[in-house]
Amino acid sequence: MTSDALREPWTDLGRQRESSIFAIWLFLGTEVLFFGGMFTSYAAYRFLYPEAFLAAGHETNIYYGSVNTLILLISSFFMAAGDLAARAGLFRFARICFPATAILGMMFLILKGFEYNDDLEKHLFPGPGFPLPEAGAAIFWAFYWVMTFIHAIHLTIGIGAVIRLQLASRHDPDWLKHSAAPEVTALYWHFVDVIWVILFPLFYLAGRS
Amino acid sequence: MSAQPPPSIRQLIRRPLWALIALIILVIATTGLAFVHMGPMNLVVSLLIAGAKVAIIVVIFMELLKGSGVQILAATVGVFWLTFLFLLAFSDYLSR
Repeated sequence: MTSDALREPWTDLGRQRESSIFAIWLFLGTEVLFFGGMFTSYAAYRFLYPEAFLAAGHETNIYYGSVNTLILLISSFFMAAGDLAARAGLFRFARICFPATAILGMMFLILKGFEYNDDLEKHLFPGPGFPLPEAGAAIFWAFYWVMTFIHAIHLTIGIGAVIRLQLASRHDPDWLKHSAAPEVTALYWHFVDVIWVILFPLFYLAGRS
Repeated sequence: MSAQPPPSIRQLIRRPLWALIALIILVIATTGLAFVHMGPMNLVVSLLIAGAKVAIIVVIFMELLKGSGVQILAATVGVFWLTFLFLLAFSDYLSR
């Protein structure tokens, strides 16, 4: 029963779990640096163009931003609950939490699509026809598009990973308990949530007062 | 495996549910405070609240403090190098 979950080169599930979780934390460390480079550039340009960044931040849609933040946080709750349930052997509950997580992730992407559409209708894309006169406002919007899009790609990968948990445990729910996959997927999902939590004040809360 | 009865769903979700409630309150607080005029403090307050949210996610949802030493080390390394990146970048910009 456990042979499905145990992979080469490990000889027992405990070590496999320990290594998998160590590996995902290492990967998340590289992700911190990947996003960190962009956060540092954002900070530097915000320091150089403080007024333009506030004026540009005022143009983002705070309704989409805050609703999407709540959706993502609720999805993280379901992911955490699903992971705990999988480890505790409550497979039926876990297999309710995983689809809930994936659906909330998809809702985030759908709302993001509507938001992108609104932004494009207002020509808030750096280049010809960009409506904001302040020097540096286009740089804010360049960061907005690049960072939220990279976040959306991460989230899409996360949705795939969560769906995979559901599919892989279809015939053998016990797999959820033996494999480290639920925990590794959950760590990745929460990390994508963390990135959004930092993006939210930088893009949506700037220039509101 | 079968010797130990599994915990109830209510027991299981208690901690994550409290974390979620705290996170939702923080989102409402940070969105509301963004409309209050505080000058440069707006950014500081919003980043402090974001930091609190990140801490809740990392400690409760990601259970970092329950992890082994190497996991905590791996998680800290990224932040450690990020600090260098910020320090070196801003020692330049702030001293121009």
